[in-house]
Amino acid sequence: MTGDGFDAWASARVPVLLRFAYVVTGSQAEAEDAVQAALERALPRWGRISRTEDPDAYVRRMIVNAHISMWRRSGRHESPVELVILTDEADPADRVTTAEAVRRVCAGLPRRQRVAVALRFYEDRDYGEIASLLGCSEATARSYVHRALQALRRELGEERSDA
Amino acid sequence: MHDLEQVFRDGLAELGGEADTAPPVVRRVVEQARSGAGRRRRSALAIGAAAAAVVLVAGLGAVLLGQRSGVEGPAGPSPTPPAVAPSAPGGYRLEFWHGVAVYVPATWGWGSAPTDPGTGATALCGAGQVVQADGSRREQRTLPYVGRPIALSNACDGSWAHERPQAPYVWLGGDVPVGTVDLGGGWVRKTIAVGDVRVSVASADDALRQAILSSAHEVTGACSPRLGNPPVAGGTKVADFVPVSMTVCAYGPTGTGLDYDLLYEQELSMGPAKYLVAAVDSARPLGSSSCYGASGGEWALLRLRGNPGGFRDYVVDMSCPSITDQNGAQHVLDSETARPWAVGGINAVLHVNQLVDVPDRFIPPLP
Repeated sequence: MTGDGFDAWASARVPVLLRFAYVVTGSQAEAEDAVQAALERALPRWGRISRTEDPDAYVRRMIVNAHISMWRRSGRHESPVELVILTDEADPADRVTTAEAVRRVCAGLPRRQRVAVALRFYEDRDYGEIASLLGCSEATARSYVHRALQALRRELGEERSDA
Repeated sequence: MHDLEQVFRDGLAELGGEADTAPPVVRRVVEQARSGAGRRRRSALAIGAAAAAVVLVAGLGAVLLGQRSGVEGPAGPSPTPPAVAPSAPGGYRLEFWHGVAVYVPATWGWGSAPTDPGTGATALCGAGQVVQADGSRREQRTLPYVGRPIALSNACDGSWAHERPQAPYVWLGGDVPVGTVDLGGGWVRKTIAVGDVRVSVASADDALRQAILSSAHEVTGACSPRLGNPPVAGGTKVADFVPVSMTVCAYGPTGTGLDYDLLYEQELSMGPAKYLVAAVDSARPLGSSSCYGASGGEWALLRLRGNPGGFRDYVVDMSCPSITDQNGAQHVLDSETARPWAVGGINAVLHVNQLVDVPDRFIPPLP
């Protein structure tokens, strides 16, 4: 199936979607799987999707759904992303960067919270959109992000006290 | 707060930049999306041999299972009809849950029952989402259903306990206290314990509620209630095997991911059984793309009983997705090999593959 410009769209947009999926899943393998699953679902209905204003939005949604569904179906509540292990916290030269703190916080977040954070701070989605994607209330979506921010604050606070 | 948000933005931008988006990777993802191959294996390899394997969303082409009735034979080429499957009293069908069976009106759909979705609180996840008797899914609170403690949605509602329903329901295995609850407006939910299983019926019709509850009884089902490992295919290899009935045992991983819980059990008649044998015999082998090992996902054991006395077990790996025959050969799970058995309430308990799922269940229909 190459009709309706799927190949052209995929060539241009899959790199972006892989990056988004990587932020959501925290792993290259899972990111590729999530994008592949989304494309598989999109292909049979590409004729309709391509006529919408924003095909990316539908595929992104599929990626999020795939990721959340993995969580729901597996019963696992933790991301499989490996934690970043600090080497020698006493040495200022090895002090973790804020980016590493973000990575570590994300690794410890439940999947839905991590998705909420990715949608909010990587995709700049508003809380209404996040709630819609996650199938929760807007208040719950705000709560997910708020808790992630608290976790980041704790992470950075601990680092400051360690340094 | 603003600084923290910026830290998140910067950190996630850096994280996203680490993804490998080289042209060969992009080509591989697109090509494998076209073929539907390789996805589960790649993740499984990456995650390692953890017992709690991740279940991935398989997605071959969307195929609607177009049965007219949830427990009838396939809609495709004419299976032999006849009726050797257990019959229920007029207008009722038998539903199983973990060693308990109960008769419910045959026109009722399938849905969810209160359970703990992992939050520590009992909730109803997917209230109002009902798989109708024809196997299709609708969000419709006015449809009666039989619910099992399986999340049908990530939208979980904790206010189920005293909520007055718009249609009667049966909950099998719900995390519901034994007793009677007045839901107002003439609606009453009564919960009894049958062995270790709670059975609840909510209805404004006292006679209906009592009839259903009084039919609840312990049984030794045809399916094992829990498996330590995925089911194994086997049984008779004779070429002229003629099945007379089929039992569908659907399994999903437990919360630990270390074993598999029986989610659904259903008896089907000779027609679907014969159709399945023919479909598997002519199904395309997976060959080099066969799944290398057991996933931690959803499984179905299809036990076909023959005459006189022989049996044959096919095993469906929903994550692969594949169907393994009596010789251990894996075949493509496609509409032909799914249609005969993926009927009735299967759509309410197995989610991994669109072959037994209604497209757009998680995604709103396109305009």
